[in-house]
Amino acid sequence: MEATNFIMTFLEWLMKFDRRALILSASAIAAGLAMIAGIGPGVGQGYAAGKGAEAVSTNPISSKQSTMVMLLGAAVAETSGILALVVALILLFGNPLVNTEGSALVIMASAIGAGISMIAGVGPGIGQGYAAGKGAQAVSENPELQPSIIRTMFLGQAVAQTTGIYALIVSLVLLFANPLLGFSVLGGVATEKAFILSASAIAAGLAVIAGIGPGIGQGYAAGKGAQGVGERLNSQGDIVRTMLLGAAISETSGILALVISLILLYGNPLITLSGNYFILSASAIGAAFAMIAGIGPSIGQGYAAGKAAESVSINPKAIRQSTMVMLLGAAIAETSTILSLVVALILLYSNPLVSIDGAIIILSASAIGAGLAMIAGIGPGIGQGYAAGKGTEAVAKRPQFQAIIMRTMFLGQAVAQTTGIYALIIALVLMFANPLISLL
Amino acid sequence: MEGGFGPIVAFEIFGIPITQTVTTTWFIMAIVILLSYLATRKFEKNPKNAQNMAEIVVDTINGLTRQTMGEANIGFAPYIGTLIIFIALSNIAGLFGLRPPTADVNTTMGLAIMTFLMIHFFGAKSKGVLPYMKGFLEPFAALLPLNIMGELATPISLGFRLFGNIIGGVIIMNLLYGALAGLTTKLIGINIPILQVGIPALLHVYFDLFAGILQSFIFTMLTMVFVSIAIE
Repeated sequence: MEATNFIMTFLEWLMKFDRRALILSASAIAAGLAMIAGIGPGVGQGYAAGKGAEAVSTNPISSKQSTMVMLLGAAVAETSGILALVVALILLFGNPLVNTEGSALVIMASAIGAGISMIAGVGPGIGQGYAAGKGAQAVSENPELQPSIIRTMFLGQAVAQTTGIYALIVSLVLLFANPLLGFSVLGGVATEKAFILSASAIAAGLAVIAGIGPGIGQGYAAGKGAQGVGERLNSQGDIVRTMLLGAAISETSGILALVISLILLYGNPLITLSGNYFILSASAIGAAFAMIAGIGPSIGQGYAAGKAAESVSINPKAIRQSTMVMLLGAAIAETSTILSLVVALILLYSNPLVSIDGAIIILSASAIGAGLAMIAGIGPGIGQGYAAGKGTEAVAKRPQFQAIIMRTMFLGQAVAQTTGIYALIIALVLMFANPLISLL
Repeated sequence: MEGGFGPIVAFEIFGIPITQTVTTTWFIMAIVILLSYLATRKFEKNPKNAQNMAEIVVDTINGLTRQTMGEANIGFAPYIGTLIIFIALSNIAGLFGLRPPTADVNTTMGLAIMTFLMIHFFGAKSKGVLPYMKGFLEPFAALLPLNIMGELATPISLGFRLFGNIIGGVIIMNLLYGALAGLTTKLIGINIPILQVGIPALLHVYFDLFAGILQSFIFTMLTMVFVSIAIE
């Protein structure tokens, strides 16, 4: 235990303060963290404004329509910023945690977790902004199709909001209906259980940050969908269906991250696991870090979804072939999320670190390190998704070569997985054959 | 492995625990066998209802296999068909209040290991054992460990992709039913499940029907693609 003394000293120092003061200070940090989500709408609306200006210059006659679509789309892109603002205002003016019963440590961590989770709003903001820009552009090219383009854009933007909503749910659960506070823990200096619960609260918020990915990806798909509808109105149904199918696949990583977050909140296996509480707490954080890798696959899959919608508008007859290539390419792009999920589940359910005899601080650091390593999966995910998108486009142009196009795409995707596999090896080594412990 | 959300052990035979996964799998097997028997009992020149349906299913699967794996590998169609029907029925078992067998990592990894063995058996068979082994040393010999890891990652991602998607739906539906039950008791004050009617239906459509059918298709298609790439 000597190694954890520094942290125990820190906790004892914390506990010298008034309980109320502690919760209020954590709320202050959380309110700041939540507002980071503002990155998204800022970037997205900027893109929309740029595209809007461009659209007006291409077709000055329809400048009114383009500007209106740009403004409508940008208003939707504001949503994540507003949701983050709401959480921050709740923390500042109607803080439910101040009068909550329970361990001060867990309440502090819940406030911070509630703030961190809102960072997921970066994704929908960027994605919806992209869709708004593409919508404005499409309207400038075909002003008479404005209603159809707006409808497709709104539909796609609504889908892109979902992971932001997941984050909001986790945040509100932590603030108002916190299941972690239901466990009886003694006040005063952090008890072992309170420590695990606090780590879980922060980890629940961290995991849903993966929602950045689906937000961006689905927004891209929405933009390409709106553009496609503008170019070929009579395939509208097929284009929208393809866009939604692709967007649903892009959602997967966000859902899996939400599942890990919900497990930490409602079915937390770490609380009942016997083992050093310090390692268990680090494992919760490590599992959440691993899930952040989902940002990559979902951006990539969103790109593929957008390209598929575009492909349908280029060549509506090859819809079967392009959808198939998009689905399979996107499934491969999912690999990084799946490998991260495996690492997260190992950390949560059959954690090998708790049964190793060694310095606790090294074992805890290894749990976090294993999770951090998996974030590398962002790269292969984006890259493989790009390959899937280009493969889809290629098949739409020359459907008769589907087999050889897919072959090249798969081979390239396998190579792109390499760095993700390296990361997995390091994560597994850290958990199962850790060489650092014997060096002490 | 999944603790609080894992399958319940239904009963034991000679000390071997039989989980919900196994009993539901038996149930699905029984349905598939029964349907196959009923649909093919009396073949007629002019097919009627059941036979018509069966022929459509078989034709679709044959067509899918031919299109993806090529005419030469049409022999895989019966396995591919069985695979997609079993996974699809397993995935939508949640609609009927059963725990999907594919929400158990043992089922999905079992299926993924079968695909893994097929990839390597048929790869070695069509290329010859030595040229096949040599493939692991390409583009150069130092990449051997990486090639092996890459091959092992295939069944892991295949099995956990299916498992993760289905268990995700199971956990979210579980929590939703729990939350709705709590809300009903709080709002109405009596323990009659009113809110649980209707509200979860939309999520069932997404997680069980949509994700379930889609994931069974993806698993089967990837199996076909991996095996046919290994053969070529």
